[in-house]
Amino acid sequence: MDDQDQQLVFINWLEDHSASVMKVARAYTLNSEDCQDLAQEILLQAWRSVPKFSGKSTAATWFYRVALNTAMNWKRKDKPRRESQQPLIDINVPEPHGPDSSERLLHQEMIENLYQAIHQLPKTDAALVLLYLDELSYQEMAEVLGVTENSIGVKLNRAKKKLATILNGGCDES
Amino acid sequence: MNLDEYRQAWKEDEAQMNITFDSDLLSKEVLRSHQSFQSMIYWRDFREVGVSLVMIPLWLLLGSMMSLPWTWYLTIPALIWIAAFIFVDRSRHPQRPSHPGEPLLFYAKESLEQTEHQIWLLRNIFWWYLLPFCISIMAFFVNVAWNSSDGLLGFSLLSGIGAIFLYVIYSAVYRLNQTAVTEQLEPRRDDLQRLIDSLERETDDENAGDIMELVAAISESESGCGACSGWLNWAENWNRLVPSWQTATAIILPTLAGALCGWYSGTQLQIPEMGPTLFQVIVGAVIPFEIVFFSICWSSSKKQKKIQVARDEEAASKPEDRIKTTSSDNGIRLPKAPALVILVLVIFLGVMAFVAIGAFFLHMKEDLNAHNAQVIKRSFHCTNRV
Repeated sequence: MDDQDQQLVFINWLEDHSASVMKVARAYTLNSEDCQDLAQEILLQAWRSVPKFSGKSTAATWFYRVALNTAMNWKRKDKPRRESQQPLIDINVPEPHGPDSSERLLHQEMIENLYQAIHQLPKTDAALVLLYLDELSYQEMAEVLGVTENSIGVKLNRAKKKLATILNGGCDES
Repeated sequence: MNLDEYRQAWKEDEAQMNITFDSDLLSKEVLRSHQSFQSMIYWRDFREVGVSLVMIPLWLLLGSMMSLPWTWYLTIPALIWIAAFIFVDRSRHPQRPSHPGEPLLFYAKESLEQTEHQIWLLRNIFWWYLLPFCISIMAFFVNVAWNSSDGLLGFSLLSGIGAIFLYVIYSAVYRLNQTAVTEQLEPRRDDLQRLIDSLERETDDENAGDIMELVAAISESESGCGACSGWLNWAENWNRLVPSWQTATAIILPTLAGALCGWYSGTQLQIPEMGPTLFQVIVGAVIPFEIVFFSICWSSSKKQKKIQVARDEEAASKPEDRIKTTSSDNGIRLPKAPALVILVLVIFLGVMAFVAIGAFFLHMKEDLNAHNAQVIKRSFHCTNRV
């Protein structure tokens, strides 16, 4: 795969998955600087991985492998290292205005609560919850984590229970 | 509210998020990151293998300049052995993370293997690192003691001092490495083992979810080498260590005072057993320098840990400070003037320490020659009288 092909594959992929990059980054960091830093790191690692992507697994599986491996290994960079990197991505979240602004505010609050709950989960459970929220199948989750499909159900149920406990103060998922 | 509602909100959030990126900049950044990583690996290997190799010509030079006995050169095979050992070990067990597109379990197992190998290396450091140096340097000490002492008592005394010196230095190095194993590597190995167990276990286990970090990467992780991190970190560490002229002065003044004491002792007191004046000046300077410098290192490290803890707490308490763009500053960082002065002082003292050791041996040899000449002269006089 030459550089142009690699760039094309990557850009096509990023158009579909750029929001997932930010979600994984946000789930594994506590502030905006770290979030940006981790998102950039995921992009760099994903770019480097493109030539190795053979298409045996789905693009979502491949992306989550790269993103979660990077997130779990990620260490907060020192300030000078961070400052030397140019921001590669720009995120724009529209402010809640207009007639449905109260609904949007409620929606944002829900998302914020969800991230806060994910932060409280162990890293492996957080990974499973992210895969669940992005509607990956059990088979894809098993491929991302490198475990059997049978064990995913048990592990995911446990993670969901913990998440529900944090979110709803003990209420289980229906 | 059930999880399905959150899941729905999650999907809607994704639809609202508008993300743009500069593909050319990304491409450049990847290249820069890749080059930085390659450079980091190169310099790490160079540091580990190259330092041993660089020591060889230095050893030869010192040996020939000071006309040192043959046992001095025994250290050269030891240096070659260590360079070869590290080189072979790095080739067989490259301490670099694999391609990031692997499943988590694969990654965890690979990191466990690296951690276990690192533990094995440090547990056996005596055999592959310390023992070769111990043998060669002890042989040199014994040889010098034999040449420079008259009787068995003097020989035993000098050899004993050398042995104690070696024991103190090498046991400290050994203990330091064993502490690293028990305090850092073994807990990491246990965490990784627990993570692997939890991923492999088919049944439910409430406690298995409490897994800590996957791997904080055994050496420097690939993910941790964006930008020219090595240089920036190095410069920043020096600036943190010597932030002002006040700190620099606190290091320089006792060093100068120690050097003056050494000079006074060498020129005014003139005790030949203490070696030449240069040796006394350097020893006089190095001792206070090390005491002050390492005290500053220790206090700076403690202060840094406190700052890090405070920063973590602050980050945890402000989760609302989230999606905002970061500012960027691409200025190249260098050690500032006070740090640079201390850095030069460290290099200067390091080089002078070698010169001083050489001068000491030369002085010892001259004393020995003078003593031998005196003995020959006396025996010549005696023969003439007879």
